[in-house]
Amino acid sequence: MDIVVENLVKRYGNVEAVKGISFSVKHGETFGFLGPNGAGKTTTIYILTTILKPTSGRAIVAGYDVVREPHNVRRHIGVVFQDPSLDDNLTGYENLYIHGKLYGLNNTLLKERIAEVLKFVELYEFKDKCVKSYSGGMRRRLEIARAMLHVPRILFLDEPTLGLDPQTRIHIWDYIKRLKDEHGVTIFLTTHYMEEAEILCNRVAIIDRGKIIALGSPDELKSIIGNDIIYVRVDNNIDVCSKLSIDGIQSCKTIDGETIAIQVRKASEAIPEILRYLEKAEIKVKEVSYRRPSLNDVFIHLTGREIRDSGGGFIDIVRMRHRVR
Amino acid sequence: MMESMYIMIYRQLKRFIRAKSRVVGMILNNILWLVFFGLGWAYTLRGPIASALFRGLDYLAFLLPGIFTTSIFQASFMGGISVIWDKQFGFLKEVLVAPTPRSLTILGRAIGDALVSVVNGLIMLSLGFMLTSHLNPLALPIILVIGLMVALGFTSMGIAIASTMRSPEGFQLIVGLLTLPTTLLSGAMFPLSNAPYWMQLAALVLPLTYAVDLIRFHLVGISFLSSVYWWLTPEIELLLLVIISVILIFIAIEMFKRTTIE
Ligand SMILES: Nc1ncnc2c1ncn2[C@@H]1O[C@H](COP(=O)(O)OP(=O)(O)OP(=O)(O)O)[C@@H](O)[C@H]1O
Ligand SMILES: [Mg+2]
Repeated sequence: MDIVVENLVKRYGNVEAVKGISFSVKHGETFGFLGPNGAGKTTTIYILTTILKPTSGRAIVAGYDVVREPHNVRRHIGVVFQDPSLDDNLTGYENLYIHGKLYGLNNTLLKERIAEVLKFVELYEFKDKCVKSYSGGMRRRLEIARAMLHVPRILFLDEPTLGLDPQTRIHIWDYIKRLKDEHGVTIFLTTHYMEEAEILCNRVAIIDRGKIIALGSPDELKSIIGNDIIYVRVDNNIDVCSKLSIDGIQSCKTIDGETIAIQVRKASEAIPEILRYLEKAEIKVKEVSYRRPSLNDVFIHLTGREIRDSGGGFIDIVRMRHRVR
Repeated sequence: MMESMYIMIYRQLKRFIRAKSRVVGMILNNILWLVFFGLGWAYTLRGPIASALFRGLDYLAFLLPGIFTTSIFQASFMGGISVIWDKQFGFLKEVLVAPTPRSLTILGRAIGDALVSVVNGLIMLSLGFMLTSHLNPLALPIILVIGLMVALGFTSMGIAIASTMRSPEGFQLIVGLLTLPTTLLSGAMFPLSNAPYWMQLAALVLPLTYAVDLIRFHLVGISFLSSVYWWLTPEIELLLLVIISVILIFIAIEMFKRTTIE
Protein backbone atom coordinates (compact mmCIF):
# COMPACT_ATOMS: atom_id res chain seq x y z
CA MET A 1 0.00 0.00 0.00
CA ASP A 2 1.43 3.36 -0.98
CA ILE A 3 -1.15 5.51 0.77
CA VAL A 4 -3.25 4.60 3.78
CA VAL A 5 -5.62 7.15 5.27
CA GLU A 6 -7.69 6.54 8.39
CA ASN A 7 -10.36 8.86 9.75
CA LEU A 8 -8.61 11.96 8.54
CA VAL A 9 -10.11 15.20 9.84
CA LYS A 10 -9.08 18.78 9.12
CA ARG A 11 -10.70 21.78 10.70
CA TYR A 12 -9.89 25.38 9.76
CA GLY A 13 -11.21 27.38 12.70
CA ASN A 14 -14.78 26.16 12.81
CA VAL A 15 -14.93 25.08 9.18
CA GLU A 16 -14.57 21.33 8.92
CA ALA A 17 -13.00 20.87 5.49
CA VAL A 18 -12.31 17.13 5.78
CA LYS A 19 -14.68 15.12 7.93
CA GLY A 20 -13.08 11.79 8.69
CA ILE A 21 -12.14 10.12 5.43
CA SER A 22 -10.53 6.70 5.03
CA PHE A 23 -9.12 5.02 1.94
CA SER A 24 -5.98 3.36 0.66
CA VAL A 25 -4.08 3.37 -2.60
CA LYS A 26 -2.13 0.39 -3.92
CA HIS A 27 1.31 0.63 -5.49
CA GLY A 28 1.10 1.47 -9.19
CA GLU A 29 -2.54 2.43 -8.97
CA THR A 30 -4.05 5.68 -10.21
CA PHE A 31 -6.48 6.87 -7.62
CA GLY A 32 -8.77 9.84 -8.09
CA PHE A 33 -10.63 12.22 -5.83
CA LEU A 34 -13.63 13.49 -7.73
CA GLY A 35 -15.64 16.26 -6.17
CA PRO A 36 -17.06 19.75 -6.58
CA ASN A 37 -15.46 23.02 -5.41
CA GLY A 38 -14.82 23.12 -1.70
CA ALA A 39 -15.13 19.35 -1.28
CA GLY A 40 -11.82 19.13 0.58
CA LYS A 41 -9.63 17.77 -2.21
CA THR A 42 -6.81 20.28 -1.91
CA THR A 43 -6.88 20.10 1.87
CA THR A 44 -6.39 16.33 1.64
CA ILE A 45 -3.47 16.76 -0.78
CA TYR A 46 -1.84 19.30 1.53
CA ILE A 47 -2.04 16.85 4.41
CA LEU A 48 -0.77 13.89 2.38
CA THR A 49 2.14 15.98 1.08
CA THR A 50 3.06 17.03 4.65
CA ILE A 51 2.58 20.76 4.34
CA LEU A 52 -0.55 20.88 6.48
CA LYS A 53 -1.14 19.16 9.81
CA PRO A 54 -4.35 17.18 10.14
CA THR A 55 -6.64 17.93 13.09
CA SER A 56 -6.97 14.22 13.79
CA GLY A 57 -6.69 10.86 12.08
CA ARG A 58 -3.76 9.21 10.42
CA ALA A 59 -2.12 9.22 7.01
CA ILE A 60 0.68 6.93 5.90
CA VAL A 61 2.39 7.79 2.64
CA ALA A 62 5.12 5.58 1.15
CA GLY A 63 5.18 3.76 4.48
CA TYR A 64 5.77 6.85 6.64
CA ASP A 65 3.46 8.82 8.87
CA VAL A 66 2.93 12.29 7.40
CA VAL A 67 2.99 13.98 10.80
CA ARG A 68 5.76 12.07 12.52
CA GLU A 69 8.12 11.46 9.59
CA PRO A 70 7.39 14.20 7.07
CA HIS A 71 10.98 14.22 5.87
CA ASN A 72 10.82 10.59 4.75
CA VAL A 73 7.47 11.14 3.06
CA ARG A 74 8.89 14.10 1.15
CA ARG A 75 11.71 11.99 -0.27
CA HIS A 76 9.25 9.70 -2.02
CA ILE A 77 6.66 12.04 -3.44
CA GLY A 78 6.31 14.47 -6.32
CA VAL A 79 3.62 17.10 -6.20
CA VAL A 80 1.81 19.28 -8.71
CA PHE A 81 -0.21 21.75 -6.67
CA GLN A 82 -3.50 23.19 -7.81
CA ASP A 83 -2.13 26.73 -7.81
CA PRO A 84 1.02 27.52 -9.78
CA SER A 85 4.25 27.04 -7.86
CA LEU A 86 6.93 27.86 -10.41
CA ASP A 87 9.39 30.73 -10.19
CA ASP A 88 8.20 32.99 -13.00
CA ASN A 89 11.41 34.98 -13.14
CA LEU A 90 13.54 31.96 -13.92
CA THR A 91 13.70 29.81 -17.03
CA GLY A 92 12.16 26.38 -17.31
CA TYR A 93 15.61 24.85 -17.04
CA GLU A 94 16.50 26.85 -13.94
CA ASN A 95 13.28 25.84 -12.24
CA LEU A 96 14.12 22.19 -12.80
CA TYR A 97 17.76 22.69 -11.81
CA ILE A 98 16.79 24.23 -8.48
CA HIS A 99 14.29 21.47 -7.87
CA GLY A 100 16.88 18.79 -8.56
CA LYS A 101 19.33 20.39 -6.15
CA LEU A 102 16.69 20.67 -3.45
CA TYR A 103 16.14 16.94 -3.90
CA GLY A 104 19.84 16.19 -3.68
CA LEU A 105 20.49 14.99 -7.25
CA ASN A 106 24.11 15.20 -8.34
CA ASN A 107 25.04 17.32 -11.34
CA THR A 108 25.57 14.65 -14.02
CA LEU A 109 22.42 12.77 -13.16
CA LEU A 110 20.49 16.01 -12.81
CA LYS A 111 21.43 17.26 -16.27
CA GLU A 112 20.39 13.96 -17.82
CA ARG A 113 17.12 13.91 -15.95
CA ILE A 114 16.29 17.51 -16.86
CA ALA A 115 16.76 16.79 -20.55
CA GLU A 116 14.72 13.61 -20.19
CA VAL A 117 11.73 15.13 -18.44
CA LEU A 118 11.75 18.24 -20.63
CA LYS A 119 11.58 16.03 -23.71
CA PHE A 120 8.87 13.96 -22.10
CA VAL A 121 6.60 16.99 -21.77
CA GLU A 122 7.83 18.45 -25.07
CA LEU A 123 9.29 21.60 -23.60
CA TYR A 124 12.92 21.01 -24.46
CA GLU A 125 13.08 23.82 -27.05
CA PHE A 126 11.67 26.24 -24.53
CA LYS A 127 14.02 25.37 -21.70
CA ASP A 128 15.89 28.67 -21.75
CA LYS A 129 12.81 30.85 -21.95
CA CYS A 130 11.57 32.63 -18.86
CA VAL A 131 8.55 30.88 -17.34
CA LYS A 132 6.78 34.24 -17.52
CA SER A 133 6.48 33.75 -21.27
CA TYR A 134 4.97 30.24 -20.97
CA SER A 135 1.28 29.57 -21.63
CA GLY A 136 -0.91 27.98 -18.97
CA GLY A 137 -0.56 24.56 -20.57
CA MET A 138 3.22 24.86 -20.81
CA ARG A 139 3.46 25.82 -17.15
CA ARG A 140 1.38 22.82 -16.17
CA ARG A 141 3.58 20.54 -18.25
CA LEU A 142 6.69 22.02 -16.68
CA GLU A 143 5.24 21.40 -13.24
CA ILE A 144 4.54 17.78 -14.13
CA ALA A 145 8.09 17.47 -15.45
CA ARG A 146 9.42 18.99 -12.25
CA ALA A 147 7.39 16.66 -10.05
CA MET A 148 8.83 13.69 -11.99
CA LEU A 149 12.42 14.91 -12.01
CA HIS A 150 13.53 13.09 -8.87
CA VAL A 151 11.68 9.88 -9.85
CA PRO A 152 9.15 9.86 -7.02
CA ARG A 153 7.35 6.71 -6.03
CA ILE A 154 4.06 8.56 -5.63
CA LEU A 155 2.85 11.48 -7.68
CA PHE A 156 0.21 13.89 -6.38
CA LEU A 157 -1.67 15.93 -8.96
CA ASP A 158 -4.16 18.51 -7.71
CA GLU A 159 -6.54 19.30 -10.58
CA PRO A 160 -3.85 18.79 -13.23
CA THR A 161 -5.92 20.17 -16.11
CA LEU A 162 -7.95 22.86 -14.38
CA GLY A 163 -8.55 25.82 -16.65
CA LEU A 164 -6.83 24.35 -19.69
CA ASP A 165 -8.36 24.09 -23.13
CA PRO A 166 -9.64 20.67 -24.27
CA GLN A 167 -6.67 19.96 -26.55
CA THR A 168 -4.09 20.69 -23.87
CA ARG A 169 -6.13 18.65 -21.45
CA ILE A 170 -6.03 15.59 -23.70
CA HIS A 171 -2.28 16.13 -24.08
CA ILE A 172 -1.76 16.13 -20.34
CA TRP A 173 -3.93 13.06 -19.89
CA ASP A 174 -1.61 11.38 -22.32
CA TYR A 175 1.46 12.22 -20.20
CA ILE A 176 -0.25 11.01 -17.07
CA LYS A 177 -1.22 7.73 -18.71
CA ARG A 178 2.34 7.24 -19.90
CA LEU A 179 3.73 7.96 -16.45
CA LYS A 180 1.54 5.24 -15.13
CA ASP A 181 2.07 2.70 -17.92
CA GLU A 182 5.76 3.23 -18.65
CA HIS A 183 7.06 4.26 -15.25
CA GLY A 184 4.67 2.48 -12.90
CA VAL A 185 4.21 5.54 -10.71
CA THR A 186 1.45 5.51 -8.12
CA ILE A 187 -0.74 8.51 -8.86
CA PHE A 188 -3.14 10.33 -6.58
CA LEU A 189 -5.08 12.95 -8.45
CA THR A 190 -7.99 15.22 -7.73
CA THR A 191 -10.38 16.59 -10.27
CA HIS A 192 -13.85 17.86 -10.75
CA TYR A 193 -13.95 16.73 -14.36
CA MET A 194 -15.68 13.39 -14.32
CA GLU A 195 -14.23 12.33 -17.67
CA GLU A 196 -10.76 12.94 -16.29
CA ALA A 197 -11.46 10.59 -13.41
CA GLU A 198 -13.02 8.09 -15.79
CA ILE A 199 -10.19 8.07 -18.29
CA LEU A 200 -7.24 8.10 -15.90
CA CYS A 201 -8.25 6.37 -12.70
CA ASN A 202 -8.31 2.75 -11.67
CA ARG A 203 -10.41 3.74 -8.69
CA VAL A 204 -12.27 6.88 -7.84
CA ALA A 205 -13.49 8.27 -4.53
CA ILE A 206 -16.35 10.70 -4.91
CA ILE A 207 -15.92 13.35 -2.26
CA ASP A 208 -18.46 15.95 -1.28
CA ARG A 209 -18.38 18.40 1.62
CA GLY A 210 -15.43 16.68 3.25
CA LYS A 211 -16.85 13.15 3.05
CA ILE A 212 -16.24 10.24 0.72
CA ILE A 213 -19.70 9.28 -0.51
CA ALA A 214 -18.72 6.52 -2.92
CA LEU A 215 -15.57 4.62 -3.80
CA GLY A 216 -14.78 2.13 -6.52
CA SER A 217 -13.68 1.70 -10.11
CA PRO A 218 -15.50 3.97 -12.58
CA ASP A 219 -17.51 0.96 -13.78
CA GLU A 220 -18.43 -0.06 -10.26
CA LEU A 221 -19.56 3.46 -9.49
CA LYS A 222 -21.66 3.67 -12.60
CA SER A 223 -23.30 0.40 -11.84
CA ILE A 224 -24.75 2.10 -8.75
CA ILE A 225 -27.28 3.70 -11.04
CA GLY A 226 -27.49 0.99 -13.66
CA ASN A 227 -26.32 0.32 -17.15
CA ASP A 228 -26.60 1.81 -20.63
CA ILE A 229 -29.96 3.01 -21.81
CA ILE A 230 -30.99 2.76 -25.47
CA TYR A 231 -33.71 5.03 -26.78
CA VAL A 232 -35.56 3.87 -29.89
CA ARG A 233 -38.12 6.04 -31.62
CA VAL A 234 -40.50 3.99 -33.70
CA ASP A 235 -43.03 4.93 -36.30
CA ASN A 236 -46.29 4.44 -34.52
CA ASN A 237 -47.74 3.51 -31.25
CA ILE A 238 -47.10 -0.15 -31.07
CA ASP A 239 -46.19 -1.95 -27.92
CA VAL A 240 -42.66 -2.86 -28.88
CA CYS A 241 -41.61 -3.91 -25.42
CA SER A 242 -43.92 -6.87 -25.26
CA LYS A 243 -42.56 -8.12 -28.57
CA LEU A 244 -38.91 -7.59 -27.85
CA SER A 245 -37.25 -10.67 -26.48
CA ILE A 246 -33.48 -10.49 -26.71
CA ASP A 247 -30.92 -11.74 -24.23
CA GLY A 248 -29.34 -9.11 -22.03
CA ILE A 249 -32.21 -6.70 -21.92
CA GLN A 250 -32.73 -5.68 -18.33
CA SER A 251 -35.77 -3.53 -18.67
CA CYS A 252 -37.88 -1.95 -21.35
CA LYS A 253 -40.46 0.73 -21.08
CA THR A 254 -42.32 3.09 -23.35
CA ILE A 255 -41.51 6.71 -22.39
CA ASP A 256 -43.90 8.63 -24.55
CA GLY A 257 -46.00 7.16 -27.28
CA GLU A 258 -43.16 6.75 -29.77
CA THR A 259 -40.00 6.31 -27.74
CA ILE A 260 -39.02 3.27 -25.83
CA ALA A 261 -36.17 3.05 -23.35
CA ILE A 262 -34.27 -0.20 -23.12
CA GLN A 263 -31.77 -0.84 -20.39
CA VAL A 264 -28.89 -3.13 -21.38
CA ARG A 265 -25.45 -3.99 -20.11
CA LYS A 266 -23.64 -2.83 -23.22
CA ALA A 267 -25.42 -0.64 -25.72
CA SER A 268 -22.88 -1.05 -28.53
CA GLU A 269 -23.54 -4.78 -28.63
CA ALA A 270 -27.26 -4.64 -28.06
CA ILE A 271 -28.17 -2.01 -30.66
CA PRO A 272 -27.49 -4.09 -33.80
CA GLU A 273 -29.45 -6.96 -32.37
CA ILE A 274 -32.38 -4.79 -31.46
CA LEU A 275 -32.41 -3.20 -34.89
CA ARG A 276 -32.29 -6.56 -36.61
CA TYR A 277 -35.12 -7.77 -34.47
CA LEU A 278 -37.27 -4.73 -35.17
CA GLU A 279 -36.62 -4.95 -38.86
CA LYS A 280 -37.73 -8.55 -38.85
CA ALA A 281 -40.84 -7.55 -36.99
CA GLU A 282 -41.41 -4.90 -39.64
CA ILE A 283 -41.44 -2.07 -37.16
CA LYS A 284 -40.10 1.14 -38.67
CA VAL A 285 -37.31 2.80 -36.67
CA LYS A 286 -36.91 6.59 -36.93
CA GLU A 287 -34.08 7.26 -34.55
CA VAL A 288 -31.80 5.40 -32.18
CA SER A 289 -29.68 6.92 -29.46
CA TYR A 290 -28.12 5.67 -26.30
CA ARG A 291 -26.88 7.11 -23.09
CA ARG A 292 -24.13 5.75 -20.96
CA PRO A 293 -24.39 6.82 -17.33
CA SER A 294 -21.46 9.04 -16.35
CA LEU A 295 -19.87 9.65 -13.00
CA ASN A 296 -21.80 12.90 -13.09
CA ASP A 297 -25.03 10.88 -13.05
CA VAL A 298 -23.63 8.96 -10.11
CA PHE A 299 -22.89 12.22 -8.33
CA ILE A 300 -26.37 13.55 -9.04
CA HIS A 301 -27.85 10.28 -7.89
CA LEU A 302 -25.92 10.42 -4.62
CA THR A 303 -26.22 14.12 -3.78
CA GLY A 304 -29.02 15.54 -5.88
CA ARG A 305 -26.59 18.16 -7.22
CA GLU A 306 -24.27 18.40 -10.21
CA ILE A 307 -20.52 18.56 -10.18
CA ARG A 308 -19.93 21.88 -11.89
CA ASP A 309 -18.36 20.86 -15.14
CA SER A 310 -17.27 23.78 -17.22
CA GLY A 311 -14.99 22.01 -19.61
CA GLY A 312 -14.90 18.63 -21.16
CA GLY A 313 -16.57 17.93 -24.40
CA PHE A 314 -16.98 14.32 -23.42
CA ILE A 315 -19.76 12.85 -25.46
CA ASP A 316 -21.97 10.92 -23.15
CA ILE A 317 -24.85 10.83 -25.52
CA VAL A 318 -24.05 9.27 -28.83
CA ARG A 319 -26.67 9.77 -31.44
CA MET A 320 -27.00 7.43 -34.30
CA ARG A 321 -29.47 7.99 -37.05
CA HIS A 322 -30.80 4.95 -38.59
CA ARG A 323 -32.32 5.69 -41.94
CA VAL A 324 -35.15 3.50 -42.89
CA ARG A 325 -35.20 2.45 -46.47
CA MET B 1 22.46 18.77 2.28
CA MET B 2 24.36 22.05 2.00
CA GLU B 3 23.49 21.93 -1.68
CA SER B 4 20.00 23.10 -0.86
CA MET B 5 21.45 26.17 0.83
CA TYR B 6 23.75 26.95 -2.10
CA ILE B 7 20.93 26.53 -4.56
CA MET B 8 18.78 29.03 -2.70
CA ILE B 9 21.65 31.53 -2.77
CA TYR B 10 21.91 30.88 -6.49
CA ARG B 11 18.19 31.44 -6.92
CA GLN B 12 18.14 34.76 -5.07
CA LEU B 13 21.12 36.02 -7.06
CA LYS B 14 19.62 34.84 -10.35
CA ARG B 15 16.37 36.59 -9.58
CA PHE B 16 18.22 39.77 -8.75
CA ILE B 17 20.20 39.72 -11.98
CA ARG B 18 17.06 38.87 -13.97
CA ALA B 19 15.22 41.89 -12.57
CA LYS B 20 17.10 44.37 -14.74
CA SER B 21 14.81 47.32 -14.21
CA ARG B 22 15.07 46.88 -10.46
CA VAL B 23 18.86 46.81 -10.58
CA VAL B 24 19.06 49.90 -12.75
CA GLY B 25 16.51 51.70 -10.59
CA MET B 26 18.50 50.88 -7.47
CA ILE B 27 21.75 52.19 -8.92
CA LEU B 28 20.12 55.38 -10.17
CA ASN B 29 18.48 55.95 -6.83
CA ASN B 30 21.84 55.61 -5.09
CA ILE B 31 23.52 58.03 -7.44
CA LEU B 32 20.79 60.61 -7.05
CA TRP B 33 21.02 60.43 -3.29
CA LEU B 34 24.72 60.73 -3.20
CA VAL B 35 24.97 63.57 -5.67
CA PHE B 36 22.05 65.75 -4.66
CA PHE B 37 21.96 65.11 -0.96
CA GLY B 38 25.66 64.44 -0.39
CA LEU B 39 27.21 67.06 -2.62
CA GLY B 40 24.55 69.60 -1.67
CA TRP B 41 25.36 69.36 2.01
CA ALA B 42 29.07 68.98 1.41
CA TYR B 43 29.14 72.39 -0.23
CA THR B 44 26.93 73.88 2.44
CA LEU B 45 28.85 72.53 5.42
CA ARG B 46 32.22 74.09 4.93
CA GLY B 47 34.38 76.23 7.14
CA PRO B 48 35.84 75.88 10.63
CA ILE B 49 32.57 75.05 12.45
CA ALA B 50 31.73 72.21 10.12
CA SER B 51 35.29 71.00 10.28
CA ALA B 52 35.11 70.82 14.08
CA LEU B 53 31.75 69.10 13.86
CA PHE B 54 33.02 66.41 11.52
CA ARG B 55 36.43 66.19 13.17
CA GLY B 56 38.36 67.39 10.19
CA LEU B 57 36.42 65.33 7.67
CA ASP B 58 34.52 66.86 4.79
CA TYR B 59 30.83 66.10 4.87
CA LEU B 60 31.00 63.58 2.00
CA ALA B 61 33.60 61.55 3.81
CA PHE B 62 31.38 61.61 6.88
CA LEU B 63 28.25 60.71 4.93
CA LEU B 64 29.54 57.97 2.63
CA PRO B 65 30.20 55.23 5.21
CA GLY B 66 26.80 56.05 6.70
CA ILE B 67 24.95 55.84 3.41
CA PHE B 68 26.79 52.63 2.53
CA THR B 69 25.52 51.09 5.76
CA THR B 70 21.98 52.41 5.65
CA SER B 71 21.54 51.38 2.03
CA ILE B 72 22.51 47.85 3.02
CA PHE B 73 20.09 48.03 5.91
CA GLN B 74 17.21 49.23 3.76
CA ALA B 75 17.75 46.76 0.94
CA SER B 76 18.17 43.84 3.36
CA PHE B 77 15.16 44.62 5.48
CA MET B 78 12.95 45.11 2.44
CA GLY B 79 14.37 41.87 0.99
CA GLY B 80 12.15 39.90 3.36
CA ILE B 81 9.29 40.72 1.04
CA SER B 82 10.48 37.98 -1.30
CA VAL B 83 9.13 35.47 1.24
CA ILE B 84 5.70 37.02 0.79
CA TRP B 85 5.98 37.05 -3.01
CA ASP B 86 6.87 33.38 -2.83
CA LYS B 87 3.78 32.74 -0.74
CA GLN B 88 1.63 34.59 -3.24
CA PHE B 89 3.17 33.12 -6.37
CA GLY B 90 3.30 29.64 -4.90
CA PHE B 91 7.02 28.93 -5.03
CA LEU B 92 7.04 28.64 -1.24
CA LYS B 93 5.12 25.35 -1.51
CA GLU B 94 7.82 23.95 -3.76
CA VAL B 95 10.36 24.70 -1.03
CA LEU B 96 8.19 23.46 1.83
CA VAL B 97 7.52 20.09 0.21
CA ALA B 98 11.20 19.45 -0.64
CA PRO B 99 13.02 16.85 1.49
CA THR B 100 15.54 19.29 2.88
CA PRO B 101 15.73 21.12 6.22
CA ARG B 102 13.90 24.42 6.14
CA SER B 103 16.68 25.99 8.18
CA LEU B 104 19.04 25.49 5.23
CA THR B 105 16.70 26.81 2.56
CA ILE B 106 15.93 29.90 4.59
CA LEU B 107 19.59 30.45 5.42
CA GLY B 108 20.41 30.22 1.74
CA ARG B 109 17.73 32.74 0.94
CA ALA B 110 19.03 35.10 3.63
CA ILE B 111 22.61 34.84 2.41
CA GLY B 112 21.54 35.39 -1.20
CA ASP B 113 19.52 38.47 -0.33
CA ALA B 114 22.28 39.75 1.94
CA LEU B 115 24.81 39.49 -0.90
CA VAL B 116 22.46 41.42 -3.14
CA SER B 117 22.17 44.28 -0.69
CA VAL B 118 25.92 44.39 -0.11
CA VAL B 119 26.44 44.68 -3.86
CA ASN B 120 23.94 47.51 -3.77
CA GLY B 121 25.98 49.25 -1.09
CA LEU B 122 29.21 48.66 -2.97
CA ILE B 123 27.94 50.44 -6.05
CA MET B 124 27.28 53.46 -3.93
CA LEU B 125 30.65 53.21 -2.25
CA SER B 126 32.59 52.97 -5.50
CA LEU B 127 30.95 56.22 -6.49
CA GLY B 128 32.08 57.65 -3.17
CA PHE B 129 35.70 56.74 -3.86
CA MET B 130 35.48 58.98 -6.90
CA LEU B 131 34.01 61.89 -4.98
CA THR B 132 36.29 62.03 -1.96
CA SER B 133 39.83 60.99 -1.20
CA HIS B 134 39.31 60.46 2.53
CA LEU B 135 38.11 56.87 2.26
CA ASN B 136 40.62 54.17 3.01
CA PRO B 137 40.56 51.55 0.22
CA LEU B 138 42.47 49.07 2.40
CA ALA B 139 39.44 48.84 4.64
CA LEU B 140 37.34 47.32 1.86
CA PRO B 141 37.74 43.67 2.88
CA ILE B 142 36.82 44.29 6.50
CA ILE B 143 33.86 46.52 5.74
CA LEU B 144 32.57 43.92 3.27
CA VAL B 145 32.57 41.36 6.04
CA ILE B 146 30.87 43.77 8.42
CA GLY B 147 28.42 44.81 5.71
CA LEU B 148 27.55 41.20 5.00
CA MET B 149 26.90 40.57 8.67
CA VAL B 150 24.71 43.63 8.96
CA ALA B 151 22.89 42.53 5.81
CA LEU B 152 22.38 39.01 7.16
CA GLY B 153 20.96 40.34 10.39
CA PHE B 154 18.50 42.70 8.78
CA THR B 155 17.53 40.26 6.02
CA SER B 156 16.71 37.80 8.78
CA MET B 157 14.65 40.42 10.55
CA GLY B 158 12.74 41.00 7.30
CA ILE B 159 12.24 37.26 6.78
CA ALA B 160 11.06 36.77 10.34
CA ILE B 161 8.43 39.48 9.98
CA ALA B 162 7.45 38.40 6.47
CA SER B 163 6.98 34.81 7.62
CA THR B 164 4.05 35.88 9.76
CA MET B 165 2.36 37.95 7.06
CA ARG B 166 0.21 37.26 4.03
CA SER B 167 0.14 40.52 2.14
CA PRO B 168 3.03 42.55 0.75
CA GLU B 169 1.18 45.75 1.67
CA GLY B 170 1.22 44.91 5.36
CA PHE B 171 4.90 44.13 5.21
CA GLN B 172 5.71 47.32 3.32
CA LEU B 173 3.84 49.29 5.94
CA ILE B 174 5.90 47.82 8.76
CA VAL B 175 9.15 48.22 6.87
CA GLY B 176 8.28 51.82 6.06
CA LEU B 177 7.45 52.57 9.67
CA LEU B 178 10.71 51.10 10.97
CA THR B 179 13.09 52.12 8.21
CA LEU B 180 12.77 55.88 8.36
CA PRO B 181 13.42 56.47 12.07
CA THR B 182 16.13 53.81 12.13
CA THR B 183 17.92 55.44 9.22
CA LEU B 184 17.59 58.96 10.56
CA LEU B 185 18.70 57.99 14.06
CA SER B 186 21.63 55.89 12.90
CA GLY B 187 24.07 58.79 12.82
CA ALA B 188 24.60 58.28 9.11
CA MET B 189 23.67 61.83 8.12
CA PHE B 190 24.54 63.88 11.18
CA PRO B 191 26.67 63.25 14.24
CA LEU B 192 24.55 62.15 17.17
CA SER B 193 26.67 63.92 19.77
CA ASN B 194 24.75 67.22 19.46
CA ALA B 195 21.29 65.63 19.30
CA PRO B 196 18.95 65.79 22.33
CA TYR B 197 19.78 63.23 24.97
CA TRP B 198 16.57 61.19 24.51
CA MET B 199 17.33 60.92 20.82
CA GLN B 200 20.81 59.65 21.56
CA LEU B 201 19.32 57.01 23.86
CA ALA B 202 16.86 55.93 21.18
CA ALA B 203 19.72 55.71 18.69
CA LEU B 204 21.75 53.51 21.00
CA VAL B 205 18.93 50.98 21.12
CA LEU B 206 19.12 50.50 17.35
CA PRO B 207 21.81 48.13 16.09
CA LEU B 208 22.15 50.10 12.86
CA THR B 209 23.77 52.92 14.86
CA TYR B 210 26.70 50.66 15.82
CA ALA B 211 27.02 49.41 12.29
CA VAL B 212 27.26 52.94 10.87
CA ASP B 213 29.86 53.96 13.44
CA LEU B 214 31.90 50.80 12.99
CA ILE B 215 32.00 51.05 9.23
CA ARG B 216 32.84 54.74 9.44
CA PHE B 217 35.65 53.89 11.81
CA HIS B 218 37.16 51.51 9.28
CA LEU B 219 36.64 53.71 6.25
CA VAL B 220 37.73 57.10 7.59
CA GLY B 221 39.42 56.20 10.86
CA ILE B 222 37.12 58.01 13.30
CA SER B 223 34.57 56.48 15.64
CA PHE B 224 32.11 59.21 16.62
CA LEU B 225 30.36 57.09 19.22
CA SER B 226 33.37 56.04 21.23
CA SER B 227 34.32 59.68 21.78
CA VAL B 228 30.98 60.24 23.54
CA TYR B 229 30.55 56.83 25.13
CA TRP B 230 33.96 55.57 26.08
CA TRP B 231 32.78 51.98 26.41
CA LEU B 232 31.50 51.82 22.81
CA THR B 233 34.80 50.89 21.23
CA PRO B 234 34.85 49.44 17.71
CA GLU B 235 35.52 46.01 19.24
CA ILE B 236 32.44 46.21 21.43
CA GLU B 237 30.39 47.44 18.49
CA LEU B 238 31.52 44.49 16.40
CA LEU B 239 30.70 42.09 19.19
CA LEU B 240 27.24 43.58 19.64
CA LEU B 241 26.58 43.40 15.92
CA VAL B 242 27.62 39.77 15.67
CA ILE B 243 25.45 38.83 18.62
CA ILE B 244 22.44 40.70 17.28
CA SER B 245 22.81 39.27 13.78
CA VAL B 246 23.12 35.71 15.06
CA ILE B 247 20.04 36.15 17.21
CA LEU B 248 18.10 37.57 14.28
CA ILE B 249 19.15 34.67 12.05
CA PHE B 250 17.91 32.18 14.63
CA ILE B 251 14.63 34.01 15.00
CA ALA B 252 14.21 34.02 11.21
CA ILE B 253 14.84 30.27 11.02
CA GLU B 254 12.34 29.56 13.78
CA MET B 255 9.69 31.84 12.28
CA PHE B 256 10.18 30.37 8.82
CA LYS B 257 9.87 26.82 10.15
CA ARG B 258 6.50 27.83 11.50
CA THR B 259 5.06 29.37 8.37
CA THR B 260 2.24 27.29 7.00
CA ILE B 261 0.19 27.53 3.89
CA GLU B 262 -3.00 27.91 5.93
N1 LIG C 1 -6.97 28.30 4.80
C1 LIG C 1 -8.28 28.07 4.95
N2 LIG C 1 -8.96 28.67 5.94
C2 LIG C 1 -10.28 28.44 6.12
N3 LIG C 1 -11.01 27.62 5.36
C3 LIG C 1 -10.39 27.00 4.34
C4 LIG C 1 -9.00 27.19 4.08
N4 LIG C 1 -8.66 26.44 3.03
C5 LIG C 1 -9.79 25.82 2.63
N5 LIG C 1 -10.82 26.15 3.41
C6 LIG C 1 -12.21 25.64 3.28
O1 LIG C 1 -12.16 24.24 3.33
C7 LIG C 1 -13.06 23.67 2.40
C8 LIG C 1 -12.32 22.72 1.49
O2 LIG C 1 -11.40 23.44 0.70
P1 LIG C 1 -10.45 22.73 -0.36
O3 LIG C 1 -9.60 23.79 -0.94
O4 LIG C 1 -9.80 21.58 0.26
O5 LIG C 1 -11.50 22.24 -1.45
P2 LIG C 1 -11.27 21.65 -2.90
O6 LIG C 1 -12.02 20.38 -2.97
O7 LIG C 1 -9.84 21.60 -3.21
O8 LIG C 1 -12.00 22.73 -3.81
P3 LIG C 1 -11.60 23.31 -5.25
O9 LIG C 1 -12.22 22.43 -6.26
O10 LIG C 1 -12.25 24.66 -5.23
O11 LIG C 1 -10.14 23.39 -5.33
C9 LIG C 1 -13.70 24.84 1.67
O12 LIG C 1 -14.96 25.06 2.27
C10 LIG C 1 -12.80 25.99 1.94
O13 LIG C 1 -13.52 27.19 1.99
MG1 LIG D 1 -8.69 22.37 -4.66
